[in-house]
Amino acid sequence: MIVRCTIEGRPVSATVEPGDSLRTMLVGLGHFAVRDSDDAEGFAGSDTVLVDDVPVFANLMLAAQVEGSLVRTSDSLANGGQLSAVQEAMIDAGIVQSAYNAPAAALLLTWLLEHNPNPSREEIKDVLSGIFVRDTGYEHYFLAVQLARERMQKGLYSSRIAPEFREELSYVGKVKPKVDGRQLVAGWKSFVEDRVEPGACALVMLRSPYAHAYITSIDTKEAEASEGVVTIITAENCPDVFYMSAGQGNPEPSPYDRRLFNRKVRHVGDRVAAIVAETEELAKAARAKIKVEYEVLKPIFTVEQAMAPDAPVVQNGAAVYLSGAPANLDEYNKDVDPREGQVVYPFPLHADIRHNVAAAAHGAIGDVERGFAEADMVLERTYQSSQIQCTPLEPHIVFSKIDNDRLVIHASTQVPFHLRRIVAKVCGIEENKIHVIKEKVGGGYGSKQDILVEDVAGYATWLTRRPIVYRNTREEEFIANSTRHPMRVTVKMGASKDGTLSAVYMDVRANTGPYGNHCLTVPMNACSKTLPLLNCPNMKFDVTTYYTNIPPTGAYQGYGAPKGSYALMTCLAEMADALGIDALEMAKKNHVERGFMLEILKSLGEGREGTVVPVGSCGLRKALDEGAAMIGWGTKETSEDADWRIGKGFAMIQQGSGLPGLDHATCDVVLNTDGTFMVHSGGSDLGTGLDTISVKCVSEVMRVAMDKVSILSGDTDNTMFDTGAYASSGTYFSGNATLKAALHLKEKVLAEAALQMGEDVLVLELRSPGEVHSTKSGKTLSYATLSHDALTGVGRGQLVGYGSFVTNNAAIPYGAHFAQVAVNVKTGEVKVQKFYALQDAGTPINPELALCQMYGAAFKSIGHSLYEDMVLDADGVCLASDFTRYGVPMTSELPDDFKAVLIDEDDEYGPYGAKSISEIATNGAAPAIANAIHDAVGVWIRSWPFTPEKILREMGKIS
Amino acid sequence: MITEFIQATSPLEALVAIQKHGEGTVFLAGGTEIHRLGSSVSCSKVVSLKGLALDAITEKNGIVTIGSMVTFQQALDSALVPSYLKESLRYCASRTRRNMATIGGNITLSRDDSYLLPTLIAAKARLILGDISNDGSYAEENIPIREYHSFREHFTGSLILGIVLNKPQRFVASKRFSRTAQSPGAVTVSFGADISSGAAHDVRICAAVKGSGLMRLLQVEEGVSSGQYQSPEDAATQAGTDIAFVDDITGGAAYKRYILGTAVSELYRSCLGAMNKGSAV
Repeated sequence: MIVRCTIEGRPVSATVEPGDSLRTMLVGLGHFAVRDSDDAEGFAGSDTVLVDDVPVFANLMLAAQVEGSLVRTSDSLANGGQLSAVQEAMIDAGIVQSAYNAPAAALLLTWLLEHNPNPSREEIKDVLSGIFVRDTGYEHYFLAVQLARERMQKGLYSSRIAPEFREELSYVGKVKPKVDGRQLVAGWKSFVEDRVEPGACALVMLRSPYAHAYITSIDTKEAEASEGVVTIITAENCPDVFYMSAGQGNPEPSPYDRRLFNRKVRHVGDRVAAIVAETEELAKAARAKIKVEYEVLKPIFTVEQAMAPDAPVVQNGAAVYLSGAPANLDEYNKDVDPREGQVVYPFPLHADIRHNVAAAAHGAIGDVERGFAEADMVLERTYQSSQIQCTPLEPHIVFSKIDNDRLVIHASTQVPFHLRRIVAKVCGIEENKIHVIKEKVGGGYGSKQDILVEDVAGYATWLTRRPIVYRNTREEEFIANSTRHPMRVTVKMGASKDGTLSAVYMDVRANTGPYGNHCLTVPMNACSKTLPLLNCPNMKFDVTTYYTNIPPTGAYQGYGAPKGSYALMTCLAEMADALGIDALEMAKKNHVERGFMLEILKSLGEGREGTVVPVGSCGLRKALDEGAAMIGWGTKETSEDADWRIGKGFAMIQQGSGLPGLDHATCDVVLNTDGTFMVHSGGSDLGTGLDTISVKCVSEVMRVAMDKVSILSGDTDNTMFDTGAYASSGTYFSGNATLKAALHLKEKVLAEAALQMGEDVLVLELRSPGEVHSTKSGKTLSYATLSHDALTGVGRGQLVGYGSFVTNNAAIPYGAHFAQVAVNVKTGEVKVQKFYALQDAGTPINPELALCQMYGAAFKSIGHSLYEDMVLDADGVCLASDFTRYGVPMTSELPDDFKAVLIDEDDEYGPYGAKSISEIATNGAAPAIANAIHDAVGVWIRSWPFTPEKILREMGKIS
Repeated sequence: MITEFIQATSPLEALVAIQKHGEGTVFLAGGTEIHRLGSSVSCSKVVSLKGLALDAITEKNGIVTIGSMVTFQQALDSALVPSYLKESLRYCASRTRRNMATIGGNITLSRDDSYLLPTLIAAKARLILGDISNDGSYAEENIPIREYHSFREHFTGSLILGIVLNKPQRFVASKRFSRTAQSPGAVTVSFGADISSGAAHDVRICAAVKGSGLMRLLQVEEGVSSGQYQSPEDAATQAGTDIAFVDDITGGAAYKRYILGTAVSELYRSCLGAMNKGSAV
């Protein structure tokens, strides 16, 4: 049928199928920035357009419904390269980060201001209620509206965007537009889906309906003979290569316990077969023809079930050790069922797969038993965290093709170099045969640290030589993706009457699900990112991770720290309550300060001995003091409604800045022939502004405007090795590599200038707007002339700075989060009235982006604490496999008063004193809110999410 | 999968199209359910109601009529729509979805977490239905919404043209309990009563309970109307005693049972408060 309508003011006649959505029609007409985050759930809003001047979800509307209508997309906002005031304001406010639905948000805010030039906060919230924002929270959207209004009315901003830092610097610590902001907010081609070439084949996955079963037979004959089918890959024809999808250091501290396809399925949604066909529809049709028979096994879903003496064994294959094999390995492996496959350990992780133990670790300082014996009070409490999903707006997607007889992978990844290594292993080829191009990442949050789609698509392309696109459905994002490991954390704490801790013990039991993705390191982080907050002389931890049949787990922003923080900080508050001491005073009595030697780190390395370092820059006390003042700590608030009780809580938090001793970053900076600069960074910008950090570092060193510096990053052919963006490493490692490269280039420029100018290098300096200046003669030499002359037939060649950064020094960010909640004693409902996130990020290089990341991570963790939960039924089927049922927070759930505060600390080791910013912000909400709930209604909630039902149960209202 | 899009130009044409095309053919109002991931509606043909001019809100002699194609947001923006209904319209917390979802569509779906039906039943709303008579002629009828709800199967071929509300002579209020504002509601309950005489009578209490369905709490209605349940606590005790609550992602059965009772109690208390003030809501 033909639909006639007006799009962006121009008449259009489009041929559509009756069932085509409006989005399908618009994308077909080239409006690809009308994106899809929810498979037509009508939730996330990436597909928002205006129809007859009303915002609608284009995925929920049939194309035929717009017959005769006026349709407007985000493409209407910019005039060529000239962005609108709203788009510019969004960049300047710092909210254009992962930005998958930034164009849709820009359209909505534009519509709002066209209809209401002076909207209230509530009116902005209402309009944004159909836009899911995971990365930056919503707080700076209010600022963006204000900035846009100012720009439209006065042509400039009068509002302050963010605090600025380091007066002596020009770019670092200053509010400057994110280097890829224009591209992202305008909706220009950025993401993997924008790179897919016409004619690409589609890959769809056949997944297991059972949580635990052997595949006894699989018949693909009819499917293979179907129209358009290119290949079908199953356990019968995939490479016999065991690997791990976790993109971690090499060798990974995770077991290689899966092949592309296994003869045993270990969770509902596990891979059974990949079908590659010429179109997605043909692939799905072929998928329906595959016949699979299963021998269903009893599944297990909890740590307790996994620990049971006669528990079914999830990974019962041959244990293989690449080093450090135990002496009894042959005995251990006798009678192994070959259908179980193998579990390959690069090095021992204290596993016992016959008892579902995937990994374990233990460590201690001092003598905890003596510490408990000396304590006036000993408290032991257990805290449970649930399985939660990263929910990036852009689902996992890959486009792979062959070029020059090499495998080219366009990836939405945090770890392009690990991706290359792992895909090379799966394909049985060497790394020089693979080119990984990291595209813009529409949200990662850890889940794109794992190689979840690139392995199978890459192999399929290598096998067939066909271009292939593979994109997870939103349901697959829930059931076959990385999620947060559920954990049961028991904390035993001993303290004297005055609140001084004498001993702390943490027993972490983690649930890794079917595969051992990050199975050691995530649970370790529950301890390594919490215990070092305390100056207690006696501390001990035991970490044990179990295989089960829940959907897969893996990396998630914060790693294990949010769960450890919830347990440790809540127990600390419980101890203060039991002792009758103010919790804040007790915290101050027991936290570390600058110079304190972190002996506990020795036993908290990731698979090897950690490095003991002293506490460096530390804004913890400042965060506690400022936060306490802001929230009125010690003052009891009351509600006019007697049913609502108000309480306050807080938590101390820390994280790391990458993994000293493990991470590595490299970068080069090239002086172009016209005096501008090109940065090649191995780092992976996830939208968080790492590229902007790199550009700022070069601008600062070379004294040139940021628009004189361009950057290419995360491309394995064109940039050098970087371990990737995880563990909060970007700023510290990749940023430091860029800084080193810039400083190296500076040396070379000065040396070259000395030759060209005939001056002593010691009298030369770099100065704005991009020249070498002699303090002795006053002569100047522009970079353009210098570079040109270096590249003439008699020059000495192009000037390139190289930076490689490794370190054993830690740059630990600290902070404190405070919450004020109101709890309804009749209904158990919780409202977060105030949430204050105070963090020491060293020098915030991009302060406006830093604030937004704090809001985003804190709001996300409020969601984890109060709402989100991947509920499984008795058979392991996820009952919450879409946004609505899963329960992510939206504008309605925003705290009434939400503030992010940057505590000024200058770090010794970070680039220009910077430390990490984002992950740490996921650590505070659970304990702060749990403590506030107790302050309000007197009950401790020891499992998240803190639902009204749980609160009512603890209050004795329901059984 | 939708294979045919039919644009009706009149209610009769829409009804004829439904009859003609038979099973698998449905009315298309806002489309938020039909095209939604995991939709409860399975259809191959849709009959669009867009051109039927059913999107007006009018008032005459104290009677408010809301066309079935009025969207949630249009109703919220109207000064004619009573506040108790606006409270329920806001339960759909996504503005963009409110821009698309229609009043008639939500009634037709009769979901167990319905935003509007509990309130419309408590308000004693009436529906204007279009039908094809036995003789093939077009006919309209005006029926109580409780009848539509109780005898749903009798109206599967009918087209909802509008909703009729009396000016607020009744107390009507509602509560909804969900994990987030946009999560499925565990319990949505509305309480309506005529308080013009200084006592609550002609009481309607309707609850949408996830997993259990949409139902009137007849025993509590009777207990309140008759004066048997004089205190909100009495009503709370009885609320849901005859409902088979189930555990699901919105909450456990015990929670739903408790929260329904609590909500009924609170709404009854509000009703008593309104009586004391001598005002309806």
